[in-house]
Amino acid sequence: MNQLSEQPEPTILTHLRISIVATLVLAVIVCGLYPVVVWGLSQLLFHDRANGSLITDKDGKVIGSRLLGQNFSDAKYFHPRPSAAGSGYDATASGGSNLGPTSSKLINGTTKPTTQPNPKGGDPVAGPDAVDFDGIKLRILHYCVENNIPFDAKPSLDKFRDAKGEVDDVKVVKAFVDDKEPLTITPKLPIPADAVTASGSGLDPHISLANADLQAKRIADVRKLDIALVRKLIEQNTDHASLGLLGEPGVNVVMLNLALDK
Amino acid sequence: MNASGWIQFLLFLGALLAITKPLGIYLVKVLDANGKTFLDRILKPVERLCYRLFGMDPLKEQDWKQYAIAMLVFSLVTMLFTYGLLRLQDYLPFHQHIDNLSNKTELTPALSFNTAASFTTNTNWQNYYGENTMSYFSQMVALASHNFWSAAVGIAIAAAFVRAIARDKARTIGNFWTDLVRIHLYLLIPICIVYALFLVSQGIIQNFSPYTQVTAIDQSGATSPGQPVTQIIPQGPVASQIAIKMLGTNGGGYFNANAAFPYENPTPLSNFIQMLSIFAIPSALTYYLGRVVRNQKHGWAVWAAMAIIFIAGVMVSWKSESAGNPRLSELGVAAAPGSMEGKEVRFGVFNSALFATVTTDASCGAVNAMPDSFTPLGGMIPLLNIQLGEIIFGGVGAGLYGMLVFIIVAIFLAGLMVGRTPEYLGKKIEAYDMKTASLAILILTFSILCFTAWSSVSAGSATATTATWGSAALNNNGPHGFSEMLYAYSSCTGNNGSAFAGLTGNPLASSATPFDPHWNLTLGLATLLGRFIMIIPILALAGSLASKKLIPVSAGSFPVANVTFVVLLVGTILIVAALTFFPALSLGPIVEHFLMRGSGPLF
Repeated sequence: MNQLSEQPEPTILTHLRISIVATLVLAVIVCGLYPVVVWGLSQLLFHDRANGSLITDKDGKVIGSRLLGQNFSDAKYFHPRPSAAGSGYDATASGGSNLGPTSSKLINGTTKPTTQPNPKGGDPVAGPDAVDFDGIKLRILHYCVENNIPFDAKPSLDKFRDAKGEVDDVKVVKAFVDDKEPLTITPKLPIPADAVTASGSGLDPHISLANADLQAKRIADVRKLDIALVRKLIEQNTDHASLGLLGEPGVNVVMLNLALDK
Repeated sequence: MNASGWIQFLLFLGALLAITKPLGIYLVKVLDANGKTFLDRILKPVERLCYRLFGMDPLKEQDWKQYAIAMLVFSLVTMLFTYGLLRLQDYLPFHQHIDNLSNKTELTPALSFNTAASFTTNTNWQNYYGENTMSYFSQMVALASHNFWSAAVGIAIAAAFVRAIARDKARTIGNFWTDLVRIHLYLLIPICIVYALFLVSQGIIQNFSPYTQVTAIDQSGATSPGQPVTQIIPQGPVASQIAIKMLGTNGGGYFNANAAFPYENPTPLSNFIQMLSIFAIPSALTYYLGRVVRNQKHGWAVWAAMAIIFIAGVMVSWKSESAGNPRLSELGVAAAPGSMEGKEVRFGVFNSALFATVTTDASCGAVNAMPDSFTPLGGMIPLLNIQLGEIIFGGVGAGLYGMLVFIIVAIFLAGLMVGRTPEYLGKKIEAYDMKTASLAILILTFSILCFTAWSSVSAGSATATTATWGSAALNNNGPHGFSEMLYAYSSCTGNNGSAFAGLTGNPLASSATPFDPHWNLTLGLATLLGRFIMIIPILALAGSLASKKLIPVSAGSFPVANVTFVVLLVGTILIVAALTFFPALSLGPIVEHFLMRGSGPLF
């Protein structure tokens, strides 16, 4: 046992002095030397990855990252998962919907009133309602329509068409929670879960194989390609499980769409 | 629950078991002021230089009060350091990249306090979006520094506690500064350098470039020809921060989406290693315990008790997540692979459930999927893990000293049952020890339940236009909304940092609602209570145990290395938690589970 009784106990000021010195000394090591050493080595050894795995087009312009999903809405592209990051795939506002399993907003969606400029000047006036959050039900409907998946609608969707004859999303979302006769959409094929749910980051670059397979026919039709070629590109842009057993396979939508554009 | 999941789970358990002994042996050397490691040749001069700059004798030990004061003063100084740097962010380097963002968030005093408290206490609860709030300098200096410091403090306290048990009639339990320096130099920094490079090889970024503005591939959404659709890609020194974030069980994400963000966790392999690194030091500390108290079987018995609760948690969460949400299945969504809301395709259901269990068994709090969107029971497991006190492997150091408190309670209960003075490893457990142990457990309960109750009934001003601050922050209605509040205070008090992240902890001021600091302040306070008010009784307990005479083990001693002991320990932990938190859990996830399976209205 140490014989400490001969020495005076350190005062709180001693601890304070050591604390301040320790904070500064350790800060230099762990906030200065350490990240800079890692930065230097990683720029040297893994230059591409350390800088974001960026993709450039043939003119050298940066058009994305291999690791981050992007919005694709054009019918000629494979569509990624719904995204809750900002207004969709906003990498400066990453995150999920954070809606729980019994959330009406998640399942039925919500609408909101909008305003538009007053043609006579002055305060804005009320405009048509808009879809605020596209719930799972609306996503299922869109997915079926886009990919030609047969479904039953009760009552008929004709009730919800606008003047141009197109289905009005706002009317549909309101009908999902209609008290008297709620609208039900029943797809005749199971819809892949990832196709109608938002990822945790809102930047998921992958879709499931089943989701890609269901979209393949649309891509082949729009691009007038042989479906076998589309399937081959899907296979080429699938990231398999790490080491053959960790994680799940997924199709990288960004890389697949780039391959289609080539 | 598929074969691939089972194989991955066995692989994870096997890898964890395999690293426990070698890392445990290394810890014995690091946590001994005279210990010799293979890094001495390079690092010994640095270590000596540190002591010279600090102006202290590394071999002069402290009693528990001096140790506690040193720890508290250091924590206070580092917390002020971070608070100051955050408030001064706009005057410090590397902030230009967030200045131009349209969604930049201001670092108010309340948010800075919350963040400083949260990082100082190893919580890393985040009321901000990293990518639009923090400059590279703030991330690297104000925040990542605490990932090292708070981890080292936790390990130091655990080491002091274990020494106290092993010593005979001793007054001192080690020197805080020596522990702090050695843990940094020999343990955290060397592992992190290698680990960070591995993470970069998987795709995690490490640079100081400005955010990249890219022209999106699909331009069909462009409103006018001159304005292409763009995506702003954040950059920064991410890999160096992620390595210590996981190894130090801190869990504070560089980005808001944490380990779900592809730049923080790009591949299933990086995901596997990140999960393993959360448990690495806590698991090795059980071996350290066995070695130092000269009862290696006891170390493994503690490991086994932890593993049993860990495996049970994974099973419940995984099963619930694979079963998915019946409310979605009835709409025609495929039942397999399970609930995918808030999950990444590359990780899938199993790795999301496993990660959520690991991160909350430990006090890490990183997430690779959003627990707020988990099924009720899948999300209850992380919540319950935190409420158990994060002792299932637990935070670095914090897990072991939390578990030691439960061991003492368990042995006390056993002593009551057989009518003997309880003894732990040759130390008599007496009234003072039980009081301090109970205090350490009760403070968590007090903070979690009282703050949750307050937020649930919080009143706004009398006018109808201002909502109450508690429920105003919620993203979900019904029982799930209550779960969000219960989770927030559990996570902060338990120094975890994961969240049912729908909760808006930093509500922004608008014309309709003035700035409301309630969440920032109460959550920040909960982190401080859960850390320091727990550590002080624990150090007092350590001081008391150290001063006791070591009684030789006899036939009458309670065995601490057999199946009976493991069962008793697991039982004690579950009973304490069940008695304390079952009512609160019933109002949240449990009732939600039945509502989800029924056909009643949604919320």
